[in-house]
Amino acid sequence: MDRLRYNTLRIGIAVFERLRLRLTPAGWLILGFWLVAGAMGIDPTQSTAYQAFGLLTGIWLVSLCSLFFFQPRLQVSRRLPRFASAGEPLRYRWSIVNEGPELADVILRDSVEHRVPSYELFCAANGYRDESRTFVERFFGYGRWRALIRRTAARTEFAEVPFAKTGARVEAYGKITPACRGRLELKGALATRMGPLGLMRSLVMIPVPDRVLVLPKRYPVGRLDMPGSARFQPGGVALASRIGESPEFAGLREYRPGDPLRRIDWKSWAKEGRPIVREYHDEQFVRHALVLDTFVPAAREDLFEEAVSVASSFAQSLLTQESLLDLLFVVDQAYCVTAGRGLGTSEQMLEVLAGVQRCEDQDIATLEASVARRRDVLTGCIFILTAYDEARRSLVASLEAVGVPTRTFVICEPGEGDPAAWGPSVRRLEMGRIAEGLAS
Amino acid sequence: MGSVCTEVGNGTDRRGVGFLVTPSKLPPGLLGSAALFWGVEAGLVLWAIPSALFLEAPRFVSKRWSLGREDFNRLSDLCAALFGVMAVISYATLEAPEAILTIFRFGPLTLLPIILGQLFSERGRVDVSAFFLALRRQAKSEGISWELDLGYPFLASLMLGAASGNPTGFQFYGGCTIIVGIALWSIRPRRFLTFRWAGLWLATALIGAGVIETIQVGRVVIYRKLLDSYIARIGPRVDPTRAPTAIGRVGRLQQSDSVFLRVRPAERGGSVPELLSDAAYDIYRNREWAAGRNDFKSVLASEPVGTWDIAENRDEKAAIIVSKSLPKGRGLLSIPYGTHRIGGLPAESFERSRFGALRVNGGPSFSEYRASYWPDGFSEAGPESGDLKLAGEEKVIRRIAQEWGLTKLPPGKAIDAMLAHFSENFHYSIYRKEEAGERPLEEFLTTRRRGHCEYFATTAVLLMRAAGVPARYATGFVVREQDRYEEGFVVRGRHAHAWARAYLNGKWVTVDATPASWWPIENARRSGFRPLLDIFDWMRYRWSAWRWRPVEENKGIAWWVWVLALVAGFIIWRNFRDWRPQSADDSAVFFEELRLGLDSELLTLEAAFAERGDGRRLSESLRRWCNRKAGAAPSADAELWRRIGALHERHRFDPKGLIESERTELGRGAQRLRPEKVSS
Repeated sequence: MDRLRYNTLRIGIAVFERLRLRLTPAGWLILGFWLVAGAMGIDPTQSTAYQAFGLLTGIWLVSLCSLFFFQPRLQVSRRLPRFASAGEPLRYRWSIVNEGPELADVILRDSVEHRVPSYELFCAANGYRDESRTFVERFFGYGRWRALIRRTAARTEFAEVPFAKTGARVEAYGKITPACRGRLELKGALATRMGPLGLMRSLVMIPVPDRVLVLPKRYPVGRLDMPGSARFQPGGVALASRIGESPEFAGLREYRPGDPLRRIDWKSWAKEGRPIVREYHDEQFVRHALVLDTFVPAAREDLFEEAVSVASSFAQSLLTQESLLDLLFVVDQAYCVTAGRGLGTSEQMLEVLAGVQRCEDQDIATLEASVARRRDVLTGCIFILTAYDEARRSLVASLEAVGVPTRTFVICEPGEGDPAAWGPSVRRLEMGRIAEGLAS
Repeated sequence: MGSVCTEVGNGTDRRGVGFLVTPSKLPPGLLGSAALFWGVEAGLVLWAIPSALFLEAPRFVSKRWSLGREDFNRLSDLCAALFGVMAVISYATLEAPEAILTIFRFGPLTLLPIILGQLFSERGRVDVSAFFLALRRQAKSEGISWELDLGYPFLASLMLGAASGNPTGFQFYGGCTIIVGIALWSIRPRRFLTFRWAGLWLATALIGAGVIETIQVGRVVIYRKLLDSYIARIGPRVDPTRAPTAIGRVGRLQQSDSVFLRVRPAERGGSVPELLSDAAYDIYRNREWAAGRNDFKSVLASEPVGTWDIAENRDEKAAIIVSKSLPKGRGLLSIPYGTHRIGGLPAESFERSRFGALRVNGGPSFSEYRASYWPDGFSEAGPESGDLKLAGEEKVIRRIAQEWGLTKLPPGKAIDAMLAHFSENFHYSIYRKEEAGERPLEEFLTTRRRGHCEYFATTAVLLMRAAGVPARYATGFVVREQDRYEEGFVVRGRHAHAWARAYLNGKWVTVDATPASWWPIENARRSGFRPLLDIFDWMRYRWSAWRWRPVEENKGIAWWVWVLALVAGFIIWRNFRDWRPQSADDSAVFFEELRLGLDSELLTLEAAFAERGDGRRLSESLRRWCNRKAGAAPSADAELWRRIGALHERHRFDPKGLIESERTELGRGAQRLRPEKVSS
């Protein structure tokens, strides 16, 4: 039954989308009028509706023929920014050269690669994400389909092209609102022009392939005061571009191969005639870990997306401070991405988060081992979890046991779990009220 | 018509403030003209004139009302109630096609409240959620709105209403072309100059006229094919002049499983004859039976109304009640042999053929008539020379009649011998795999020896004629299946049957040559869904029986109309009892306050506390005051103080404002925390 629903929705919505591109609101009205008149006029001896049907058929025939005469001829390019953010409109400029006769009433829209939910995802969403408003929508699975599409689709908006003479170059402003993070593939520009009767649009697809990286959605988070002190970082941070409060000068010694060039003491070299380097005792940094839980079943991808958004919100916020931040997660293996203090920027961290995927073939022990390897250098740790079961509880406890302060955020459905039993350092972030949860 | 729909983004303009728009983007006078056109075409001029005046009044009257979403919901409900009442009355009093056309005819009247609401409202648009309960809920919880200019859909409904009339000629086409043309002209892309556009529209109108002509020609062809298909589906009983048979047809004989007739004895405990006859034919030619000379003669009506005496001065010996649909009030009646009187069937005319078929004209679409009959009586004319003709099958039939020894026997014995022969050597079958040859009857009688009732009846008639017995081919129904819902019998499409009538010993008798096995074979083909479908058939029957009940029972029709009117009136009263639409002028200040969020109940609450000396301090925001109150309040109220503080702040300063549920929460929260409550 689900297969039938899925195929019906897939085909039906594809047809509807094509019609929606072609038909103006007036076209929809005339289509309805035409169908009703056709049904009423089946028996011409009963009414004159068949005459209305004839007139409307004539209207459709003229509208269809006119499609071939009013197609705009354009050369189009777009100037895109490097990044977009999920849920936020991306504004950019179109540069248009008119290669046909005088250009008027043309509308331009980006054609985005459609992400049709897979059958497995459609089945898995049953009972979790259903935006059905009526029994009929629920029965046909349209509520599920809409919820899935809403999470992945990018909304493009029409841009009106200004009047242009033959050969003239004009500019227009486009807008896309991507719903989800990741790579957004733009196929081309869809130039449309309304036919003379105002019912149908002529369409021309101008291939202008492009892509934009969509960063995860972020929520406003306040300053997170993490307890704990700076920790010794064995070997320091070799590539740090600047040094803050941590290093302590210990003395000078001869250069040994492998020493960083920036530690060469040029004055001493000039004095001694051989390379001399400065030696420091150790380095003390504030270093936080941001642990992202990627162990989410396919059906709960919405939980995972919210977890990535929360992680992105913290990554952006924490990296404005003078500290290092390790982003720890597991996909096919354990990954650790470090940023801060010149090692990397928040943008780079967000780029990583834009591409992070769910983990399907590892378990939480891999993440626990990765965290355990770094526990000696961590000042504090933030966990972004999608559940708070025994395994995750033990992961948090293992870090607290060695004195590393933690903050845990659990993404869950409203009413799920018992927060009283979770402890003071664990905060619930309810689906649909994440921003409120983070702000409070 | 780019301006028909305006999408308003989430949260914007929710409070009903902002733009004052023209009532509709339609050109001035178009709605009024269309309404008059509708009145003329649909014969509703008296309704159309005031409607047109109201529709055009907003162009001359500056007064506007400030109608919001709730107001349009009420108007939409009113329209739905009017439409429902009209639909029920139409269906209860008219036949299906006429009822549908009536709904379209009066449709614009039922839409009038909401279109006038739009035209006289300051907003000038109607939110689509007004028409759907699910969207209303969504609009309430999420604040989404999608607004529509109803002028164009209303114009379409006026055109459909006008199309429901049936005047001859092209008057409707001309008017419709002008009105639709002006509407489309008003929304054309501006790059098309008027005169060029008018030329294109003229071409469109000519193409439309060509399409209509094509429809007229195509209709004749299609209707003929459809009629043939219809006749083939329901059997050969609709035409008393000809009866095409399925003799020689390849494949399975398909018959409908729907209930065609319902038959019950007129008196409790009475009996029902097994055969009901529709028509009889005397000429067989090209696999088709025809009536050479029907000679339908009028039957005079007698008293009471709906009674037709076919044979005079006969006392009623037995009677049955037959329920049957008569499309368009005309058709042949299914009656038992020996019927001498029909009662309970008011009609314009009633005719009887020399074969005993009864034809009615101008009757109800559904009839429940009483057929009084003499079980051993007859009502057919005596035999003529045509009842002995063998037509194109003469040689074959004569040879076989001789082979079977029928020609040498007296009539009664010959019939018995023929029936015995059929019974012993032939089988009933509704499936034919191979193509029939040139002579399907010969093949049936000599080699194949299996077929359906038309084979048996046809060959029986011809063999009896060859044996010198005048015979006719008759069609009708077999009444055997008990009705599971009521007393009586149901007769389905597949109970249609054909048999022979033989003139024996001075009277016509029925000779059914089809093997008795035909009944179980036919019944074995019943669909698994049939019990369920039977319920719908029965409900449809009860509904039709109620709608077409006799006039004397019809006197109490008013009671349900009154009930319906009361229910509709109650719905309307409940919806509108507290409706006080605000004038746009009076509401300007109110809306400005709404826009700034100054209607927040927290302000009133704070003022009440301030009177007691517990208001906010200088330089203390309302949010901080709420938080301070939360600190001092009992734990049960602390969270509420914080919540309404946060909600108030969003209501005042968030450009998106609050959704309706939150707005309600703010109001209720402030109400709960009022000083009296606190002090108590």
